[in-house]
Amino acid sequence: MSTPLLSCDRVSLSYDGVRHAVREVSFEVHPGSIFALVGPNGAGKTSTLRMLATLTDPSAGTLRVDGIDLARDREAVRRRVGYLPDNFALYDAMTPVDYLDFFARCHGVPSAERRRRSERLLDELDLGGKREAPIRSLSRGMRQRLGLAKTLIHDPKVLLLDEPASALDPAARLKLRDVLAGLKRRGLAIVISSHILPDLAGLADSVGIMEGGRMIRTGAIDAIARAAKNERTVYCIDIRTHVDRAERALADFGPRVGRFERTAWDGGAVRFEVELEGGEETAAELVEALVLRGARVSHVAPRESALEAVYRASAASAVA
Amino acid sequence: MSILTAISAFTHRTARRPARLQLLAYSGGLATLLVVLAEWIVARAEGPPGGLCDDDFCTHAPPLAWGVLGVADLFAVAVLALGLLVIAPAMVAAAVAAERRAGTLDQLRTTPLSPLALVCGIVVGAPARLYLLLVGPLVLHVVCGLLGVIPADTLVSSVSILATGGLASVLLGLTVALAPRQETGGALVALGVAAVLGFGGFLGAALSGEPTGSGWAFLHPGGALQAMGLQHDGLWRRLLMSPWRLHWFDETAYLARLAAAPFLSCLSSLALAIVLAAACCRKLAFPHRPLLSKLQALALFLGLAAAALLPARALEHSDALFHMMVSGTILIPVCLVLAVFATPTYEAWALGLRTGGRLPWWSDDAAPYGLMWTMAAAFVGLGWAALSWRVHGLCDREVVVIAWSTVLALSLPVYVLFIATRYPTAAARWALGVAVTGHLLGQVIAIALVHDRYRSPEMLFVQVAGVAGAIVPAWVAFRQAALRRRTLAARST
Repeated sequence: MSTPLLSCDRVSLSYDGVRHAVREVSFEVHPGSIFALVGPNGAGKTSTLRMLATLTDPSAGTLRVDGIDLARDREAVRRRVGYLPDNFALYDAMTPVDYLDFFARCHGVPSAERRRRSERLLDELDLGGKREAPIRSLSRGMRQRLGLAKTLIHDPKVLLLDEPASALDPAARLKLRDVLAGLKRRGLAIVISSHILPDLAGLADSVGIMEGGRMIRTGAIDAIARAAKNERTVYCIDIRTHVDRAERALADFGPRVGRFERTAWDGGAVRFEVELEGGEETAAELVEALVLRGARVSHVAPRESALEAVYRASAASAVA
Repeated sequence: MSILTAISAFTHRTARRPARLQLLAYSGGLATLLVVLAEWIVARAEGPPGGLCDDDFCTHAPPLAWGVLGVADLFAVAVLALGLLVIAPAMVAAAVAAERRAGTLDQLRTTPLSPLALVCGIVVGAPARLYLLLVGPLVLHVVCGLLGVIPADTLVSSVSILATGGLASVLLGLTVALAPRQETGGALVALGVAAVLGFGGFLGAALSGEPTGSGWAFLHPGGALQAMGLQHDGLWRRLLMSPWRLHWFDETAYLARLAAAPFLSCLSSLALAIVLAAACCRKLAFPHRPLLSKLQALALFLGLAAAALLPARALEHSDALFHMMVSGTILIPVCLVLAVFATPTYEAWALGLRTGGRLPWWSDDAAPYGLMWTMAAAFVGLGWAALSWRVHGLCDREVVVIAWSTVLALSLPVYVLFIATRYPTAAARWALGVAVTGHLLGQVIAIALVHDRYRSPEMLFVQVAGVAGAIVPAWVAFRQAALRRRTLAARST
């Protein structure tokens, strides 16, 4: 296991000593990996990212970036971190080239390197054709990509992205996924906060689930998914014929089937949403039972991704 | 990260190379325009500058000759003063307020630039276009100095005043933009800064043109510039002073005060700039803390109190108590504003309370009692030193005035803490601030009436004010104590 590029050890943030925006949060992010910070609004994701970006001082705990204690050397940490806030405010009157040039100067990028990096980033993020256009004329997706380019202009080792995909159209989200996958391959440690779980599914290596300022579950997605295997997952099962037999089969299957619900389906089939315990193995047994009863099964798939299942299970246990 | 890097980045952002050349060309055009305007005025002038005067006061002042460069130099200094002391601070305030509102200031804070580098970058970079425009008038002014159109010491003084005063003014603009807890409208902040500095400039200039007030001319760089111009018998004095006032310049004390003003102005501007720069750096590094540390607020108050009181030492006056009252009335809003910006938010105050230990008065999270009472004590001490205040022989009404003023001064921190911690929104804080201001104004008027031997029609007002002076602070203190109890109870739950 490589040394973590970013480590957060029992970090808390409280403004008045009673209410905690963040309470004893711990996690690590390794090079070439993406850590997804998920949770509802007000869970403490943005506060955590702002502390990592040196914008807010933690009340307790230790934050390290590349082994450097944030409390001791902010400047060194800032050289290693790129932070994209959720509003990614830009200077509307500037052009993308000038905007990147300004932040490159602020980060002390040598003059010979500035132009080259700006051009490369604009090309990589499909903004090459807009390099001389005023920023105010860019679409939201373009502005978001320009904000990302700004966070990368000083070649950071750690990338902090706060709700990067919010309010983006599907095409822009797919583009963002590709970009993030590329950055991950280049060895960056990336922390993404989001409450849109499908955006993170298949992209994040590990996840931290926050609720009310606490990290209620953290670790590799696969490991958490395995740990949550006993939790019930909702599967969508489409039946084309003998729906009544299928319904009886579901009722007779046993305790591993929880609630099931019949929903209308206009494609010539009826969809059942079934809570299953035991994951894919149980689903296979259930399909077999349905087929033996004569029902024709046309589609079986979990309604939610592994990450969504992990989040739902964690949130449910936190409430309990 | 070096300060030069920040200055280069911010200057480049505001004025890129092609724009710089264009602005320098405009600046040359502006200087030329000033000369052309001066020539036009001189060509149409009738009689000597300032006009002819045949009464006794003017006989000893020989008429001066008009000079095109002399008049152009006056315009150049006026343009430089307007640009550096009024417009540049407003531009800085507007730029920073806009950055705060848009959220880009936070992005700048994530760069490796230190707070001091950021401050330098902003104060040089935000008005960079204006600075470039002012190059022409500055060159014109320097050329006039080198050609002997104005005395060499005037050139040195004016450049020093403009440099130090300009620095203090832009830092004031930056401080004002960083001061509010919530992000504010850039245009409003800019207008406020321009109005305050413009009014200060006019006031300073008016004070320097009058022997009694000239001791305070250094308080604004505009007044110091005026004092500098009036020192020598030249176009500046003849055009800005009425002929019948020229005999004032025979008074050695007046000339000495005018001569001291530029030096004092540079000194006070530098001191102010240092404190404000430290405050801005602090606010940029720790935005959740109050704008001013308690010690910074005290230093600013001491400087202003000394500036208000010490020049009075040179004046002939019979009523020290009256002068203390006037100075105190002027300094009350200063004290309140400084204390408000040195008082913690409710959350920080509550955190300080809940941590248990007794905080020293200079702590950021401490209530402003110690600070404001120290300010009041310093004011009395300075007044004593400056006015050689007579302790003996106080009459009854003077005793009442002193006692009432003392109660008023002691109650001020109660209001400040209440305003800062009680209400979370700016609108509510402003509303309460206005109400408190009204109450304090009533108290000051009542004290003044007592001092001036009030008669029966005012008696009722004084009595009502006296009752209010006891009830209002007691009620506010009671409400604050209730908040304190609730805050501590929240810890235990």
